[in-house]
Amino acid sequence: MPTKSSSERPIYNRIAVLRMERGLTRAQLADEVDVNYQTVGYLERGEYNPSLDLAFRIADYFGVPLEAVFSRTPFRPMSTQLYAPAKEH
Amino acid sequence: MQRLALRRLAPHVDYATRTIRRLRVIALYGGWLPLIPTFAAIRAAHRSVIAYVALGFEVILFALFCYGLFTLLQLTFVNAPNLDDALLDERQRARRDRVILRSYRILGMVLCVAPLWVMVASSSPQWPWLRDPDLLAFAAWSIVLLAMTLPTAMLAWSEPDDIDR
Repeated sequence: MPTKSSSERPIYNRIAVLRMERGLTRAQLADEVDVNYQTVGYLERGEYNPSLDLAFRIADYFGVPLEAVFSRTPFRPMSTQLYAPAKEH
Repeated sequence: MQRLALRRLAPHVDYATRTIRRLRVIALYGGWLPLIPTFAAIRAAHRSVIAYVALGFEVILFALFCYGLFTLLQLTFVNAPNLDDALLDERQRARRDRVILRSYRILGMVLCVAPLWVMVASSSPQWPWLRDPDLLAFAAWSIVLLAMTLPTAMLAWSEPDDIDR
């Protein structure tokens, strides 16, 4: 979801998807990356852009590279990314 | 972890629901603003039934104001004592700073009214109430109250509920 405050150059993120994949609540993720649980909600809704430090903490926690969590362009749905190449073969 | 640390160091900090927080803001300013008109009504009515009714109303307003003031000042992270930056995350610090900046702007605009008031009051003998000492004292205390409470009130009004868990 794009950040409302910087709609001209939005930053999209996949935090909600990654969190749900791991079955975490916002409060649990917040504890892991040491922020207030409401901040996780703000991040997921794209209402707040994290600092570089927080972005790295989130990516590190999920064990994925930064660009797998944050992007300047909208993410394709996970299912499309996973199964689209299989269809091509 | 962050919330637990907050609870441990500042157990009086009460986030409350947004509805409750907004009611406290309304109680604070809604209790304060009619105080002087009610007081003027008490003086004008002078020991009549209306004066006693107005006095009762004044007591209720003052109680509302005190409730709003004391609950609000302990409410959010702007005014919470013993709460240093380390206990707030980066979004909360950013929000606090933005709210304080916005409060200064609002207060600056309010203070711009003061010289206008003096100009109008000194050049308009047909409006003697503009020079009423009670009203002037009320205006001055209103500015003090605004400076003291506005950042917290803005934050209390806008911080979301605990629904994000």
